[in-house]
Order: sequence, then structure tokens, then C-alpha cells
Amino acid sequence: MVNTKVTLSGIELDNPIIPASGTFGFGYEFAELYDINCLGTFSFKGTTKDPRFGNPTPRIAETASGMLNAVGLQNPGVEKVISEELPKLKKCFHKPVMANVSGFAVDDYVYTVERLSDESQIGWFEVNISCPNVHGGGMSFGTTPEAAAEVTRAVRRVTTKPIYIKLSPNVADIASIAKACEAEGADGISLINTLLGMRIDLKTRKPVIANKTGGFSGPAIKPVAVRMVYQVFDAVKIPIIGMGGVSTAEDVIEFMLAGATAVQVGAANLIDPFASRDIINELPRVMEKYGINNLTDIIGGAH
Amino acid sequence: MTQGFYEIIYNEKIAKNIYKMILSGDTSAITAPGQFVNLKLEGRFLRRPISICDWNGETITLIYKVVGDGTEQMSMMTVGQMVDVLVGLGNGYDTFKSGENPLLIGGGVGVPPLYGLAKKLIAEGKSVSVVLGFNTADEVFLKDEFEALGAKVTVTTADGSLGVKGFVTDAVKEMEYSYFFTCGPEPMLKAIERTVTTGGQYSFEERMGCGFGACMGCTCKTKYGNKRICKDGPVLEREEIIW
Repeated sequence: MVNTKVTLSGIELDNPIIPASGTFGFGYEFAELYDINCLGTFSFKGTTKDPRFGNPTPRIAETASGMLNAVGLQNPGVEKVISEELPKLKKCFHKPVMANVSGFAVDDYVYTVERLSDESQIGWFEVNISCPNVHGGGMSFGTTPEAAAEVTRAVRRVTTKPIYIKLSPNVADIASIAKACEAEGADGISLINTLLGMRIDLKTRKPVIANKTGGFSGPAIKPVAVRMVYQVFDAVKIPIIGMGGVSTAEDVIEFMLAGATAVQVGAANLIDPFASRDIINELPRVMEKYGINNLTDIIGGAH
Repeated sequence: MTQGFYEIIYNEKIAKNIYKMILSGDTSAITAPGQFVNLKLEGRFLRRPISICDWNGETITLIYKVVGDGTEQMSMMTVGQMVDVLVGLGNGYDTFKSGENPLLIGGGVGVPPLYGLAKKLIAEGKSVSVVLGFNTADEVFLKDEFEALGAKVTVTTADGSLGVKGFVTDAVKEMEYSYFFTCGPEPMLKAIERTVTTGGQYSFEERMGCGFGACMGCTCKTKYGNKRICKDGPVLEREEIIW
């Protein structure tokens, strides 16, 4: 019997598989399809202080081995998340959930984290300073060490729960940004968010997506993500949640060898709603194939 | 919704750029006409959402238009091939408010889901009229099939090569009906909104990521709040739509 358990900031996960924010809603669409308690945990839909409709449609475009999205943080706002989404989630998911939060000013992040901090269902915060699809805020906090540090410092003051900062790959030096977050008390780093991309329709001669640019995700971005996890592992001591194009149990092993303690599954959930469950089921077989008894033994093994 | 592998048992061209595909497999997840399936194609990342034209206990009939690389690839798939399909997506049409003589209005590749709907309404004892709009006679499909069900069919073509010359609205404005159901390109839906005199239901198209309500890729605003075209739609009631 292989051991798939990993620990994120003192909370043990049955396995390192975490559906990524924005690809899993608040869980219940998937709970209609399978028992989502098989997951390590999941990161819920990016939540902001106020409700957001998001961007105009089309918000989605296909690419080779991937997709672009420019949803723009559509969410019901933190009050409704507390009053409606979390109670619904409680009925189908009995493990600590990861609360993904976003904002447009430091005060927005602080407000949302503080408001959610007492919710017993929440195990960790994942602070998104890397959304490429909103104007003002979002990714701009994730592109300099100073701004990343400022957000980390501010949310650190208002919660005792573990804080993971979700970083943007659209930067020159990811390691320095991760270090800045660690120095301000981040408990971990989540990476990567989507790469900024664009597609143009040859018939209309205009960008396919109404927002013009979108976040690029899917298997096509995996090598970029693995490289960044590897670089950040060398730069910080806090745990890393790796993501970017994960769609198989082999991908999970690869990210862990690069330095991830846990791994998020994103776009794959949208193509195959059972993807996260299937990866969990496959993981023991793939571990045996590569002679891995304890998954924690391989974290950073490629260094 | 279910996910499964379906065998293609038929895939032929039936009109200009229009193909009919019949899939064999589990159909238990289909609960209403107007729902859709989402097909995984070899080498394509996103699935292709296609409306369900008709179904029975063992097969699903799809009628689709070749509009891009994905649907072109579908048109070249052969009998016996297996395809990964999500089945029973979307809300579909609700026949509860139809009244005794509902009108079905379809434009181009918006016509197929109305076939399953006509079948259901006729089984419920309703007197069904159908207006089918196309650009030219060589694009016309399903006319005979609707007539075989017992529906009263009017065809319109933009160039007058078959039936009434003009758009569906030219036929609709002359008709009497208790309620309407429609599916077609958005400019047609907007023209219908300016023409109709009763309540009704519209089926919308949008670019989708997942097709089952997870990604928020196809959200629209309605008078009753945000709705996902894939999960809360594709059918919306007339009174809730913000045009």
C-alpha cells in the first residue's frame, strides 16, 4: 500500500489533488457527479468583497492543447458566499476547503479574508494576486515583489489561518516575488495562475475573446509551470502548491519532483468533469510504477 | 448529466453544410427537448456542444452545421467510431405553458432541437405549427420530418427559392398561436422579439468552456440574475431576457 497523504500547513490531505479555483465552482456541480470527499481539498471560486458579473462574452477560446478564459472573477460576493455557498457546500464536502480570494485594492483583500476568517469550513486562504482578466488590481499585485509583499503583510494581520499566495507567471523573476511573500509571513505559495494570451478570429479579424486577452491554461503551459515551481522551490522554505496543465497522475508526480507539496487540477476539470477523481484513482498505480511508497518523499526530488 | 462512450451509427450530409449524426448509447440523462450534448474530438482541447434533435431509449440524433475546424472534423468521422460525450446538458424547453396551439420558430441550425420539442408537444395532444427559416432551398432540412409528425410547416427562404420569400418573422406575423418556442441565430431571435405577441421561450447560443456550469464562461444577465447559458439555459423565458 502506497501512502498518498501530504500535509499543507499542519492540515493533512488524503492526497495532494486539489481542483483549482474557477474550474470547480463551489463544488456542488461536481458533487452531483461523484463524491467530492475523495479530493485532498479544492479551491473555491475566486471571491471578492462585492458581487461581480465579470467580463462580457465570449469569455472562452480554444488553443492547441489548452484554452483561454477571461471570465473576470464572476462571483456572488463574500456575503453571499458565507450565507449561501458555504452552507450548500457543507452538505456535500466534509473536509477543510481552500478559500480563494481576490481584490482590486489591498483593503479589498483584507476585508474579504477577515470576513471569511471565522468560517470553520475554511482550512486555508489562497490569495489571488495574479488574475490576468480584471482591470486594476488583480495581477498588478503579483508582478512586483513590493506589491506582493504589501498584500501578504495586510492579510497576514487579519487571519490566523494559513495563507497561500497565488502567483502570476507573467513576471520576469518569480523567485523574488515568492521570497517577498515568504518574508511577510505567507504560509505557502500557489503557482502558476494563467499566462496572458490572445487569439484572433480570421473571419472577423478581431480577438476571439471580448476582453481581447485571456488567461492561457491547459497542458500546453505545463512546462512553464514546472519550471517556475522548480525555481520557487530553490528560493523559499514554505510549501508550494503547483499547477498548470495537470491532467494525469504522472503530471502530479512531475510537479512534486519539481518541488510542489500539493497539486491543483484546473482546465482538465472543464473537459472531463471526472478528471480530478480519476487522477486520484490512478495515483497509487503510478506511484508503484515509479517505486514511490510515500508521496512526501519525492517533494523537490528533482533538485 | 452522464459521461460515456457512444458509437457513431450514422453520419451523413443532409443539406448544404448540414450533417446528421446518430449516436448509440445510454440516453437516460436526457430529460427535455432543447438539451444538448458535448462531444470530445480527437486532438481538440474543448468539447463541442451540439443540440439534441431527437432521442429514444438507445440513440441520440444530432444535426449540426460545419462552421469551423471542429465541426468539419465531426463531419469526417465514420460509422463505428467511438466518441466521448457528455449527455443531458442544459435545461431544455418546458412545454407546460405551451397552450393548445404553440408555434415553433427555427432558423438554420437552430431548427434541430425544435424537432424533439414538436414530437413532445404533439404527444401531449397540442396542435403544433412550425416556421423554418433558411437562406436558400439547398439549405432546407427536416421539413418532411416535421410534416410526418403532424405539424403544420411553413418554410421561409431569404432568396425565395422555397416557400415564403423573406425571414421567419414575415411568416410569424401572419399567424395565430398560444405560445412560441424558438432557436436560431441571435439577430433572428431579436427580430422575433419585435414580432411575437405571446409568451415564449428562446434558446441561446454562446461559446462555452465546460458546458455543465463550472467555468462561468457563458454567463448572461437576466431579470432574475446571472444565468449560465449551459446550465441554467440554453432556454430562457421571454419575460426574463434582457435584450
